[in-house]
Amino acid sequence: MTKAGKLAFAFYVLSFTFGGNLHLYAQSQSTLEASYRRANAAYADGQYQQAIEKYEQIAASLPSGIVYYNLGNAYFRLGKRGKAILNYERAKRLIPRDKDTIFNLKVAKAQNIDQFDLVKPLSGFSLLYGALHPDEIAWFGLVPYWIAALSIVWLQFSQNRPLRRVLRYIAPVGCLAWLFSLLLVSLKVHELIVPYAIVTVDEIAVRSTPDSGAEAIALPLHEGTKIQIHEERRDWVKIYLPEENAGWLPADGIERI
Amino acid sequence: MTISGDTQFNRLQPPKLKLPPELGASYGGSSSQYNLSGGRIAVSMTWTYLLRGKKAGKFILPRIQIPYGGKTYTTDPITIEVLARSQKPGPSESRANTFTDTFNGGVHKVEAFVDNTQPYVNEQITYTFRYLYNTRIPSLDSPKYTLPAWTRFWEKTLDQKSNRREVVDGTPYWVAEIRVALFPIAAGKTRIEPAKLSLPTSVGFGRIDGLKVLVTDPIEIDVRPLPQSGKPATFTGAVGQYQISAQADRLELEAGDGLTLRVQISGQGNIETLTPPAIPALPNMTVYDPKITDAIGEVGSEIQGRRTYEYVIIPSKAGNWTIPAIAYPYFHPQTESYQIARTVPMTINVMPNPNGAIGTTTTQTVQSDVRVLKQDIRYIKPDSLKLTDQSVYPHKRASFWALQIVPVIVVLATWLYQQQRAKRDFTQLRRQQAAKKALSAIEAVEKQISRGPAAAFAALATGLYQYIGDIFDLSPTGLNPELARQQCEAAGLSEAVTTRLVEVLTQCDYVRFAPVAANPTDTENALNRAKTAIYAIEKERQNID
Repeated sequence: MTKAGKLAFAFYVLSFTFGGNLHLYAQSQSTLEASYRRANAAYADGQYQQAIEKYEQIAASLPSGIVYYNLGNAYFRLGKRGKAILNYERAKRLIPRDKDTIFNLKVAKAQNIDQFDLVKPLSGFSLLYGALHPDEIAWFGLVPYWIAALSIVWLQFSQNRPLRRVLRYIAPVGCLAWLFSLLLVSLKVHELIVPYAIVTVDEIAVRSTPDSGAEAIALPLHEGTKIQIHEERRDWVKIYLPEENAGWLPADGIERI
Repeated sequence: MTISGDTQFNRLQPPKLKLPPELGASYGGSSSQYNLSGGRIAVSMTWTYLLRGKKAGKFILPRIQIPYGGKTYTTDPITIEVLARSQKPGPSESRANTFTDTFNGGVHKVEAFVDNTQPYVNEQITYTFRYLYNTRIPSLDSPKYTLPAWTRFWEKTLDQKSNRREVVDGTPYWVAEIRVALFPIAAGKTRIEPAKLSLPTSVGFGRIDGLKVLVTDPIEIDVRPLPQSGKPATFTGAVGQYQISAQADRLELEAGDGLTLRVQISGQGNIETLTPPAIPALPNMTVYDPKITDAIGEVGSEIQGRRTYEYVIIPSKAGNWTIPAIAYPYFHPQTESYQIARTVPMTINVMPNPNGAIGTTTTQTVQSDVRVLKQDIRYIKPDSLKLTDQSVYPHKRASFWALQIVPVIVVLATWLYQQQRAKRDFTQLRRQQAAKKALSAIEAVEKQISRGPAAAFAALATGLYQYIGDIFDLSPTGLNPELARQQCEAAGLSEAVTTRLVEVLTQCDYVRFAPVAANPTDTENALNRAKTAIYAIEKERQNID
């Protein structure tokens, strides 16, 4: 490998390791961190609205799990439970194993009027990757993949018969593990791009058609309820209700996760 | 028949019975008992006879005389009435609660009773189950008993007494007894179902002949409700006879320090179901939930004991504070009235805390576990955490794809390299062995020169073209003298060496394809020239490489 090639390789590895944050320095890291500290100070002083504005600014530039978590806390303190749950859900996507996020989400949802979510159950694979970020799954897959590749390379040179026998097994197993990880990554990413949303207003009517004059076909949903969007049409979104019924919600009463 | 005295009996023979002919008798054995009383030994000796009426009627058991120590002791006559079978079952007859062992000659029977069939709710009654027998147990297996299910009672099994002798209706029995203290849970009529005894029986010489199940009679109980009249407002259901006392571990302390107040309720009744006493309001003091300890025993068949409540009390303000009398109402079933036990009031002298600290105590832990008063969200993440963009997923990263592709490139590059290397190695080997193979081929021709010049020259040509192909990494097929010259010149061989090789090849072609006669000498010359040419080429090749 040439020197330039080595440098390019090192760049890619570093880029991957540090979560792909090499592209985001439109606003400098130090500025964002200073803003984060000011937001935390405002929160500590009970200036929750001020904290919310700063956290929102940071999150727009730098989607970070801890920023969403703190933002959720600030909304919760202001009594905006729907917004709090929305931001805890956003944080959970980015830091899925964070115990504080999981706990606060549970506390907030416990105060919901609707003690249910209108979402399809996750696939069985979610048990495998539920608590992992897609990057982590990709990493787990790359390890056997690289081991398989090195085994194949080694096979080209080694004259040691027992070693060659072992390498002949390692290579296909590593390749299978890699393919499986790619499957998991794709499922996880697919799961993350499913359009979920949270009801952010006190109460929202479920109508039979995307029309504010249409008949309400279910009891209204309340703040904090998680829904899955199945279709978007102008200012309306379609959701599925139990027993295959479908209903429409005005888009201004919900916010996508 | 029992003889009692105050000295030891010596060689006393069993008395002889003179029975009327309507009564049969069998000797049941003897026993003696010694007691120390007033410094003297009291002795009694008992002989047991089992009498069996042969027909109904009244019969007189005559006086029995026992001579001892020069005197004759005489019993009073006993009148025995033998009833007909239909009138009353006799001891030899089997009933549900009785089994007559005809083989061993004796009776087993069970009975159950309570000491009070009209108790108040939560008043103790004692249930007694008795197994009586006056013959040996006909098996090594012990009889097994089953008591009824106490569905409407709170129950506690009392200590069991050891088996004892007892005369029942004139018949001596061994008696095994089980007693259970029962506390009715609710008012109303209820029934205690029969208890059962499974008795292994035999008909002879230890042979087990199945089980005989003896069953007691059911017992009807009428549980009375507690009276409403006179019931104190603070009554919480205690029934029995109780006393209450209170004691503080210190009467002087500083504000913020703690004291332990022990309130003890003792007496007869269902101690384990007592409710805590109502502690009066204590201004300027915090009272924590009590720690409860029980000590329960029995006297006779009555459950009694004490329950102690240990309250930790922390005064928050200096002053002389009074802990008023603590009242504990209970219902006394013997007097059928409500009574109230009370503690003696006590005064606590609380001094100001010089440190101003409130709530510190060194007495003991005041909570057995942490109680969450209100569920709340956890606090925000700290400033020290590093912010990173976590929203870009792998498929959007160039690095992800690079790391997927790089192994493929590495594997392919390695494979191509290995292919090239293998090919290079083959060419090298071919060149190294070219001269050797060619000279071997010429030697083979020399050995077969007798087959004729045409065949010899053909074999020589094949060997030389193979040699040329090997050293120049070419296929020998299609080579001719002119191509051989071109390859030699291109490889930098000298013209003399090239010409020598080409001349031999040309001569071979002439002999092979033209009608030119060749003699053996020409063939040998050609072979020698060929060898010379090969040697010369090899020498020049070494110089060139």
